[in-house]
Amino acid sequence: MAIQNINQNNNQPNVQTEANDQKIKSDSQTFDFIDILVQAIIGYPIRNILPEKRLEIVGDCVKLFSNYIIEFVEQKYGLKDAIRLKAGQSFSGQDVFGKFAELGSKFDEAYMSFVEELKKDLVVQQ
Amino acid sequence: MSIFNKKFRLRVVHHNAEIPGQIDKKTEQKPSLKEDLRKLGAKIVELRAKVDKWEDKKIGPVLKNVKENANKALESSAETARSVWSGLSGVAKDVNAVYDRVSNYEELDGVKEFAVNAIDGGKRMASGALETLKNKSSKMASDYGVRRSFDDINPLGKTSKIIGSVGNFAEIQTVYNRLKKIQMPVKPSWYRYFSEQAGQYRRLEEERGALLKQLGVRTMVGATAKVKLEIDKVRSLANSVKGGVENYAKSFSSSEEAEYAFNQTRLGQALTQLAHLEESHGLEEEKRTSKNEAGVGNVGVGEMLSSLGLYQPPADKQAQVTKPPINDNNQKTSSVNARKNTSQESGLSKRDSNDELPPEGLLASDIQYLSEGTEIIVSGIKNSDGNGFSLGYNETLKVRFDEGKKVLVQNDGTVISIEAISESMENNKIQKINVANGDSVRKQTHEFLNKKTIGDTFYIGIAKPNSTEVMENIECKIPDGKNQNKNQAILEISYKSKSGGDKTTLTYSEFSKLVMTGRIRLDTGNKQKNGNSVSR
Repeated sequence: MAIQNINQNNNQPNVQTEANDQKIKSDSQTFDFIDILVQAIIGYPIRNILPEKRLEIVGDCVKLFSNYIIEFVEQKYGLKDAIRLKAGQSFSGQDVFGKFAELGSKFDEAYMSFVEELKKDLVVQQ
Repeated sequence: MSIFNKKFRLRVVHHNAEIPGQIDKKTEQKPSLKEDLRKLGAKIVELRAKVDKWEDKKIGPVLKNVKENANKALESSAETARSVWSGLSGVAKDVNAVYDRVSNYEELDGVKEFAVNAIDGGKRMASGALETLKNKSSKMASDYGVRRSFDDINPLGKTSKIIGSVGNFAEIQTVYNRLKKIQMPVKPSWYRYFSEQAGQYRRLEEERGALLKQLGVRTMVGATAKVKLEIDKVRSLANSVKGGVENYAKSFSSSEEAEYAFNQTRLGQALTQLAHLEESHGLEEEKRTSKNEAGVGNVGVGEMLSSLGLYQPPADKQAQVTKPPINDNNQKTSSVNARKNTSQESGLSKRDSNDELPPEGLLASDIQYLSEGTEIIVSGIKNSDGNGFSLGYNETLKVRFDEGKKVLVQNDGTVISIEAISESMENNKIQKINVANGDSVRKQTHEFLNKKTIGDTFYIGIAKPNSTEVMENIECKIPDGKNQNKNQAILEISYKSKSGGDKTTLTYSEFSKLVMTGRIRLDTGNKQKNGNSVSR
């Protein structure tokens, strides 16, 4: 009987399920990026962090990254762009890079600067 | 607890540490980039130091390697960083839940990949099943000498070939009968040609019967439909599996375990069905054993018997029904003993509860040689056969000569053709046919032969097919022990006529069967000298 019900459900379009799928995919991409970020900063993937410490460590790493980017942009291009970047994070679904075309290259510049800083750290560690 | 987790539990002590880029609440001043970078560097060094503090020597290089790889990945992820920028905080704040979801998703992804691979396997099986049918149908086409492709399966081509041969046979028979009518001596070469045609006709008939039996149908038209039907079934199943793949894959991305189980079950069913289909409907390899060439190659009465349509069972059927296995016995001094031994060692005694009695059972094709009025008993009919008649178990039918053709008549007057009986046998509706007085005939034959000794000569009559005529004065001789052992033949039949004569051999079983069907009329031995044979 359970199998039949599943079969019937399969035949019906499920909008909610599709939305969930989309969210899972989006979250998955973000999660993957954060995972790399965390690894680059502390050397461990998220899965190896204790669940009770995960929120704290990941939160710190993301803040580190976000603040660096925003600060870099603000220092180099001014408050307006920094606010735009912050807005992109504050309001979910806001596509600031699509809305402000020039912001993308500024972000990229800040991003590469951040990566270079991490590299320096690696060199220092050696 | 893993060593990684242990390390982290110890080192994570910095949650209140200063974060670069944050506004200093005491001074309300925004830090400069330079200051932030300094703080970042310090922060990283701090984190690193804490990690290093608790890392052992083995973990260190691994950690460094992980960081290097992550850096490389980050280097090429600027675009990704942009696209995930808006969701970073949300995910970070809900990292545990996201972690669980993503982990599950990855796990499902793996299962999905497995399932899709499995379905691909199913598709390949379906494709393989189609290919098998295609190849086998081509092989059938090749075997039967007709052009036939996968999409143009036409077993009727075989029928046309059979009809062609039958046509030749009938034509030759006509010529032969004309020659007979004007009493023109028939040349041996004519016999040979006639015999070859008859042999070929029988082989084709047997092949046709085997083909129909293999397909479980009665007619060649039915065979065409059946083959097409089977191929359609496989096609349909293949399409079903193919169509199911996409739905399956789609449904799986949002599936739960139960759904996975369901789909696995469905997949399993499809694969099982395919396997069964291939096994049960794949046309089996033609098991072509050596064909019966005995009636073709031998020149003489055997050939004559063959040319007259007298029954010469195919090699495989002889082995099953009548022909005893080859046996290299020592010579026997007593002809009776020799015959007894031949019978026993041939396996007759093992098959037949009546010990040395010849085996019972006729083929449908034997009916045409039965005398008019002979009663036969058919066994194994379960219900109506669909041929326009129905029979009960062990029903008695009477042979009648009807418009030049032998037919069978039921008690209620229903006329049944030999072809219909033949089809019923092919379909296993009829499992056995016996002459009504078969047991007494078998005993009579046995007693008759048992009285003969090596070297004895006696005379028999040979009945012509579809005729009441009997060729009389056919001389038979019990061969000596050497020949008997070598050839398993207990009778050497000589035929003498105006055109000459020749001889052939028959086994005990073959001889008995010919007597049973009335093709050989036993001589009582009383009238050997004046040449008259006595019909049983």
